Amino acid sequence: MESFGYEHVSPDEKTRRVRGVFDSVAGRYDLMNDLMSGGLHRLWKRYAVMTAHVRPGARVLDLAGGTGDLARLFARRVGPEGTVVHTDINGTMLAAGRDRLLDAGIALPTAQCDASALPFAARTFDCVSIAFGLRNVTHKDRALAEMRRVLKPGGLSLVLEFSRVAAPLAPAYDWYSFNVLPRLGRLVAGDADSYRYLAESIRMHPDQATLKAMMEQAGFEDVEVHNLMAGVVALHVGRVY
Amino acid sequence: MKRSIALATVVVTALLLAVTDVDARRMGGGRSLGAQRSMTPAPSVTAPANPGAAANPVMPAQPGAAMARPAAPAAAPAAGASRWLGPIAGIAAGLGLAALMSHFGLSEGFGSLLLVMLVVGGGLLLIRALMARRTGATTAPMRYAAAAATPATPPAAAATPRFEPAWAGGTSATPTGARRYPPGFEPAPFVAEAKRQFTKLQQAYDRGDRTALAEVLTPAMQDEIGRELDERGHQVPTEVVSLNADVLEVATEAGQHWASVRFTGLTREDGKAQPESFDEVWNLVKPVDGSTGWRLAGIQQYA
Repeated sequence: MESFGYEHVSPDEKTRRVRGVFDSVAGRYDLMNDLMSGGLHRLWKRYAVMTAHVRPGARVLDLAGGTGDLARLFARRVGPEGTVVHTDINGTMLAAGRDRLLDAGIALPTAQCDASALPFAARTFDCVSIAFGLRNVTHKDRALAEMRRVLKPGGLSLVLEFSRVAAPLAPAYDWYSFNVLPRLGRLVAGDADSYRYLAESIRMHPDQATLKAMMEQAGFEDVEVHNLMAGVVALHVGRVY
Repeated sequence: MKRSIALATVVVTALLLAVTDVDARRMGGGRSLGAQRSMTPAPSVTAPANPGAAANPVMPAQPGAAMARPAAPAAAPAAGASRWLGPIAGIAAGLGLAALMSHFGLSEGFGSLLLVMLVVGGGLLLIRALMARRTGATTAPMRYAAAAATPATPPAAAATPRFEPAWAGGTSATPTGARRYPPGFEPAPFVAEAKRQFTKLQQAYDRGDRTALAEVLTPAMQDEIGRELDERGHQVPTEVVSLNADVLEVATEAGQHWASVRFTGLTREDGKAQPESFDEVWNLVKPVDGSTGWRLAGIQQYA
């Protein structure tokens, strides 16, 4: 069984329900992110891309790329010789992201694909990223193994995701998540349930140490954990040699 | 006054040139540094060529220079008349000496004395050679299965290399036919581990991660590389486009195992579009007592 927020559902059911959530929120996704995080999600993403330290000409795969925030930042860094492949399992989100990137004058190869069954050859990319996406993936272990597979030796993976907040801040964070977030969701996106799912799925997501162990299990080495905002968000960096 | 200005200009220019020179290169910057080794085996390492040598844990003698450079002219068999020059000179010297002795009125007895001295000298040399071999045999046997992993990596990594011998389109088979290694030494896992370490070191160097570097560099190399890190400007990460490794020599000298690994391949440095080939030998060292893993002691440019 897989968790969909606090409910336990079959893997197929989880995949279907997650698709429902993102189909519903795609249009207002960016606005909601800005409102919910006070714009901080932009900083977290910037920090992740900065940590990757990709060189001009590198090949980057952005999984669960959604509205293309990471892809845009990467595209600037790898330059015209490099490649950034923008992917998402959800067609609605991917289309919204592609349109936004095109509006910004950035045309990237775009692919709708499942992170746990990547349509790319082994040892293709210098960097694979997944920002606020792993939580929604049905088979996380498979997705991590796939990320490991498509990386070249010397490459690295970035997993940016909500994580376990430091204990003193937990009560305030919980109150915010279960009272403010769903209301914001209803007011702005007209969908309180999807944002309740967001808050619940964050609680069900593995904490820093567990995710680190999962990455090591998948074959990553020297896994680093960067806590951002006292663990509200954590960036995991795994390397392949 | 004018002279000092000129001097200052020269110094500043030299400094500027020096700084641009170390910008954004791979580790070592394509120069030779640290411990350099000549690949011809040192006398203490040379084992006798008899069949019993297989039991000797020390590196067996390598025929010719192990570096396998194209045969140097000196090593080629002497052609034609020059082949006879040695013996002829010997005979001439013998005749000359005999003539000289008889000229000074020295008898046959003096000649016998000379012969006795020669025999004694030869015997002494033989005893010395035998003693040297015995001390060599007492060194502890090497354990390469464990030796291939540095403390920074799980030992399992050495036993099960996770990559095929070549990546990114390099040639697959590393030529090991001509090499001879100590008994029990497995080149394949060693090569796989060496390549992992090469990539890992390059990454740590790109990040300027001195802690990670300290784990796998000898103190002397830490100083050298530390200086490179101090001097370099903006570092564009080096891309290792292809990498091949070949273990040239494994030897034990003065309580240390030495391994010389030749790395060839292509790197893209400084964000240039065109990758450049490199060919260098890394001299790795590890104490016989196993107190540390393999550490990089020096880099030698090969080509």
